Amino acid sequence: MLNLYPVRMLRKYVPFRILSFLWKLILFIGLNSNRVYAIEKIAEEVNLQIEPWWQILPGYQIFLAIFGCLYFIFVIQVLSHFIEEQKHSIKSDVTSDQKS
Amino acid sequence: MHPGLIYLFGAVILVFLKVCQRETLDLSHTRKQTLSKVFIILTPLLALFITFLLKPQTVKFSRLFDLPLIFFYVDKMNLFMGYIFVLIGFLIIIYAFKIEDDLFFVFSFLYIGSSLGVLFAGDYLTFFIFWEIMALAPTFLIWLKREEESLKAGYRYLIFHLIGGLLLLAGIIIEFTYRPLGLSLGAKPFSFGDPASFLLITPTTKLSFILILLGVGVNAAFILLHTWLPDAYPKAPFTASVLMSVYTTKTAVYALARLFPGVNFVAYMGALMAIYGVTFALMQNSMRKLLSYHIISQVGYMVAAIGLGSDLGVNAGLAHALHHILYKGLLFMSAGAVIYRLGEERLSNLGQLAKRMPVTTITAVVASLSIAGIPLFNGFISKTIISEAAHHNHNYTVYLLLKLASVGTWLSFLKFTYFGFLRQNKSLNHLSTYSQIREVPWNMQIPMLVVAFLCLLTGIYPKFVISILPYPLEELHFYSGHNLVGAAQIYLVTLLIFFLSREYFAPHELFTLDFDYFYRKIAYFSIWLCRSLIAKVDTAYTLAIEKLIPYARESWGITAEEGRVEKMIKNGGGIIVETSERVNLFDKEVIDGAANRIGSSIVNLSKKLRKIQTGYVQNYAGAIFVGLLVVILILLLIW
Repeated sequence: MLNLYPVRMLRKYVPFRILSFLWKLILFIGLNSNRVYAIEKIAEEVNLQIEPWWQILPGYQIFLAIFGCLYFIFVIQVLSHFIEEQKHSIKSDVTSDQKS
Repeated sequence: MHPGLIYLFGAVILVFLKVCQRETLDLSHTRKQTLSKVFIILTPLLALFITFLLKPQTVKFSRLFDLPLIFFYVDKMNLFMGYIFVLIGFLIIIYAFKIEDDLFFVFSFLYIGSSLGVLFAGDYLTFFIFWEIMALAPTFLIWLKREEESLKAGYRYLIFHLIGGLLLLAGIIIEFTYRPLGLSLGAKPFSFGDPASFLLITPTTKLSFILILLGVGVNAAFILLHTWLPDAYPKAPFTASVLMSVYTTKTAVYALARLFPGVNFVAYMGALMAIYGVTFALMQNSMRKLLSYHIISQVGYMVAAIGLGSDLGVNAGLAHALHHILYKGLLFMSAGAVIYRLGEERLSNLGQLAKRMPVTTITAVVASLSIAGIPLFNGFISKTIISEAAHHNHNYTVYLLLKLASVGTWLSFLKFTYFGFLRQNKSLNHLSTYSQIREVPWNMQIPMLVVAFLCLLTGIYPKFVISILPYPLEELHFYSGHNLVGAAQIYLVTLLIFFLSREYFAPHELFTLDFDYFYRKIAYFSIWLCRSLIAKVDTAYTLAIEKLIPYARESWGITAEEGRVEKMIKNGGGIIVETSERVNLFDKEVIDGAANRIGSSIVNLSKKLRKIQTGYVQNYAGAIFVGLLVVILILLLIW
């Protein structure tokens, strides 16, 4: 049986983009791009798991959870206010929907 | 044997059985009921049994007239979804079988059967036919509530899905017409006689790609195309909500995995859906509306994973679909149990159900922990695979958005379980009915407990699911220290913040319009445009014509006695007048005439059709029998 449904190939592995912030910093202080490329190759060779810079921070999930909670509280407040203001302009269906 | 056909035949036979029982069979009412109920249980059981016997790489070529079709195609991907579809279908039928009437089961069988038809379709035409039946059957399920708001919601559901179906059909036609050569099964050239012309593969032209993606996107509840979901699900009977939470969106997820893996747009749309759904879910007061918005959010996870591409991404999306079917079905079952006993689903009016309804509360808590992705529950497993897929793909935008959505999910289900089941609500103690609340019947409890057990089982032993995934999965250590510490940080901090700031999340009466707001604004604007601007232009146009004719007569020296405009036109002066008169004629004869004739034809047809309603059961049975023969004939032609 032929495989009629091939899954697309994994996108090319490009660590350059991931650590772009750090690489730019390194480039800025004088290293050239060839050396950056060499570091990438080494990382590939030794099968290093290259993390984005914020994942290296210890406990970034704590910051994520705090930010997430604050974000949702803020958005709910803003959206609730907006909806309360606007719902009077919608005439039909609102009353019947409210009952539900 | 196609498991979908068992359900579809089951629906037809159930109608036939009901009609026969009513008049012809000399049985007591109880025995008639038992006969129907036995049949209702046996049909999904048979489908379940047959699906578990299916082997991947089964292909059944068939022919409808001259069109070559692949009516039944089984591989690892659709079989994976097929297992959970038939299993949950069987459990939902048990859940509903003491509550609902036979009509519910007829439409449920049609719905489940058509979903399985979509799942096992190997070509676009079969896919489309079952897709359209799948759009119709839930509409009838919504209408079964027999209330005005359900009627309206059903129509809105139908309109959305018919638009989706039209987009899909347009895409399929373009795909058939422009599919390039060389895509055949063998080395045969492309032609309509070749099954390769109809193969269900990623669309090959840009336009068909976009149209089919949008058509599938309606069912997957892509943002802007999603409003039917939170609108319709809470307005259906609660048993129908359980059923609908499983099939429509998950069939679309399967279609995306089949046709659009690795599409960037799909990945970002999924991440957006995850955030959007959870944000609106947090604002809801109605249990089922909260759960409906969470379907958008959780489907967003699956869509994002599929959009990431690679074997890992598709596996992650499908594993999450399976887990989601379990815990979302369970959440809707728990909400349904509360509605069944209390007739109430507003979180602001609920609470302290743990003592009165312990089984429902436990199952709701298990499902909530699963959907939130707490370790040891199945949501944790599939969310870890999705995170791994995003990580492997270096798509950290999607990764972060999904992590953010998981914070929102945990907050929503803390709200759902705390305010709905666990908190002390003093206002309830005064209600005399509250003390009489008791647990739901056994037929509702058993499916809930079975699904809760499966949520835990697939969380503790993920190999159950991983071993049947369509692509081999690398060794993943779900319960590694890194994963557990990460999850603990997110969930414990969120839990703490929830209890410190729970008045912000407290449920209260709030009507959320979502994008409906804009759609309704557009509708009101259109009505305003017709009533004011277009009506004024129309009046001005009519007045102008009336004034133009005497002016034209005067200009070209035509007296009132001679006064025929035709003469003037013949003289070559009245292009405007001629045009105006013709437009007027067209308006009267064609547009008004068409409307009048269609109206009168429908009235005449209705008068004739009334005669069919004889009231004699033999005639109805005869009609059903003829219908059955036609169905069999079509199926024979297909085979």
